[in-house]
Amino acid sequence: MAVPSAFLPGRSILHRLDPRAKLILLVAVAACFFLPGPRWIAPAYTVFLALLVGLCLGFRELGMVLAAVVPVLAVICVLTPVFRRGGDTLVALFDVRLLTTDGLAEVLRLVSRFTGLTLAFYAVFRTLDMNEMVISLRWFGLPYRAALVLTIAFRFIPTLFGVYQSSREAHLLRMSQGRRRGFFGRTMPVLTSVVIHAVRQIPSLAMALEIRGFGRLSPRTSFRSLPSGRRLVAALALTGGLCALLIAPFVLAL
Amino acid sequence: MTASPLSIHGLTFSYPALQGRSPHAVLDGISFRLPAACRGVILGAADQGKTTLARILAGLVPRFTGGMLQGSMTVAGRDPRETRPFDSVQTIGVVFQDADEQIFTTRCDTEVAFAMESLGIPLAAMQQRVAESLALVGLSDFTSRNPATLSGGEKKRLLIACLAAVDPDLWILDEVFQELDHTWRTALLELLVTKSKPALFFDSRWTPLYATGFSDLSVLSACRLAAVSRGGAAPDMELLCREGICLPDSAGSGRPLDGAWEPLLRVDGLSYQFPGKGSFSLNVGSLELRSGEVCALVGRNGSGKSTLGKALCGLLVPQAGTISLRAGREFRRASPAELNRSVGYMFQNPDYQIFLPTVFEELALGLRAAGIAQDVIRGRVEEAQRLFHLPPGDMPPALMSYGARKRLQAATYNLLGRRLLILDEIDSGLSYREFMSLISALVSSGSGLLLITHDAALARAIAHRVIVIDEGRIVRDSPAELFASSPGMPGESR
Repeated sequence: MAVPSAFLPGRSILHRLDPRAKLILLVAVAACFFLPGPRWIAPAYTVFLALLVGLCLGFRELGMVLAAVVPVLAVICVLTPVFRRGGDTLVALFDVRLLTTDGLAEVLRLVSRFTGLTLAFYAVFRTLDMNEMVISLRWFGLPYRAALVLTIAFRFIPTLFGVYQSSREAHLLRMSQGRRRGFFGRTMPVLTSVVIHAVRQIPSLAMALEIRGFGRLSPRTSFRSLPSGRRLVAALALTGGLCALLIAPFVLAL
Repeated sequence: MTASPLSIHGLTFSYPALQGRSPHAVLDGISFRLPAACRGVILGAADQGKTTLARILAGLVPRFTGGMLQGSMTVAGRDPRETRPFDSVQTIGVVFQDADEQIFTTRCDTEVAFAMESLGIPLAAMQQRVAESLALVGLSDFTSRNPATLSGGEKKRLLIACLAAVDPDLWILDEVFQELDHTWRTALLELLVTKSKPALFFDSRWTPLYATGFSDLSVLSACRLAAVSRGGAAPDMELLCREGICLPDSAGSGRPLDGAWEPLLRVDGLSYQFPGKGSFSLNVGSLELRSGEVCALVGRNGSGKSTLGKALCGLLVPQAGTISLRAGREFRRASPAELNRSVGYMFQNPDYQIFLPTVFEELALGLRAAGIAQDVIRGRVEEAQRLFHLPPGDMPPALMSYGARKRLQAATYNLLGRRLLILDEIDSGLSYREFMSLISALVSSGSGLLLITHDAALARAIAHRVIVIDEGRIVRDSPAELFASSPGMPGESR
């Protein structure tokens, strides 16, 4: 069974960036989209992130992620002007103001914020191996057991997605005759099969963990570790510099 | 005299009663002793309690499942009931039947290292052992690969690497041969012999490898253990054949009778490529499948067997070529929706399609969707229950054994009256007898069968025709009598 995975192997700048730096920068970028500042910042950052994703992961990947957010963006574009009617009228139908300057600005702000955040998270999760993420979270102080739960979750989410696909195919072939079923009629049997599969996995997973020593009271060692010493200092210095660059436009605008 | 690594006496076990049913007895007064530095094998059909026994010996059952366990046992010098499994990492190592149940990390090297991390082994030693263990099973180039993307055989090899890294005193291997090809089966045995490592194998099928290098062979059947050979003596093949664990000598012995087969489905110039540059592509020039005929599709892992099967039932839409279905005297190009309705595809895992609370509901579902009257449905369901040896209609499938769930899966497709059925490695985990019985029941309705399998011997024994696929192309299509397994063909059983 082919199982999808969030991580896309590669050797781009994003791939080579220290995982801790990536997580810190992700938080910083996310914060920037919510800070008060000039209107051009959010669209500019979004364009920059789009270019980064395109250059590091490929423009096909960029197209895929943008296509995925289009429905949400469409809803924002349709509904936001209805609730923001201040400023000059740009489009009107008879006496009804359909689009105003305030409405347009709000649409741009929300579209930029949503697209930018999506691209930022996408860039990090596509270039960060989940083991590295867990080690990084442990470096930030996350307890081992919580980190292990995260690893297992990241291992099983794609697996369950694969089970969902196989179950959907099995049910499609089985129920291809007779009347056409609605969304719930098609989805519920598949979800039930996936839930049964997931529940069956729980005791097996507990057994698998325990026979590999999970639960022992003696201290564990770690097979994988993150760079330390000079490389860590360099990574932190780079992170600090990039964070300063991110925040600089907001400071200058004050 | 060296102490036995495994000794059990009068072992009796039953699972707890569920939903007002009586407790499910699995083992009854079993006794067994494995000599030091020897390998033993316990054979048995599906649902005879092999996995339960393996997990009892590892201290996992009844700890995680509940149930009543009686009798005495010493495994690697301890009673597994008195120690937690996490304290037995260095004494007992287990490989599960289903590798997906046991793998839980997202990289091969961290999977191998996990138990060593638990033991507190220093990093340098871990790195050396991980590299050596992965090399031992031919996975040196897979260190950073996500285990979820490995094939079934590669996952089994990864789990063997996990054991090799820790090197426990006793290896318990549950159906480990099922997805390994002959080369890796031999390599595993050589490893155990070289290390003089005691090991207990559990399997639902006989393989000639068990005749050499194994000191003790037993059969688990009807809750009892019967010796097949002791001290490396020649095994009692009659007993194995009686239990359906061994294929009869003559090729074609399990094959349904030949008949006047009508051509049913034709493939011309089929081409399918997975997305991505350089990804796998399937190219089938021509192929014809007939009603009532049993065709085996064999090939190595990743050769395109499942891809071809999914294209034939319309789950994958080819980029080029045609798939035609017979309509009266002529063949007509079939759309994916028409293929969905005419060709069934049985997945290896029966649980992908089972979701209703009772056997009756599962069997009746497709018939109801087709608008068939209730009284007709009842009669056809009862007939299917008889034909596929299914439990009463009010039985919840979730409480049924693996073999029974496979029979239920086959029965649902049989009731739907598909003209062609594709069976994707559904022989896995079933004894030869169980599988042949399933094939007979399916063929009795006149459907054509395309059987996807790794087991070349099974293909010879059961199919009328064998199709060999390699790197997405059909390289051979011949009557089963003329088919001899090619060198390196996985799963040569006899």
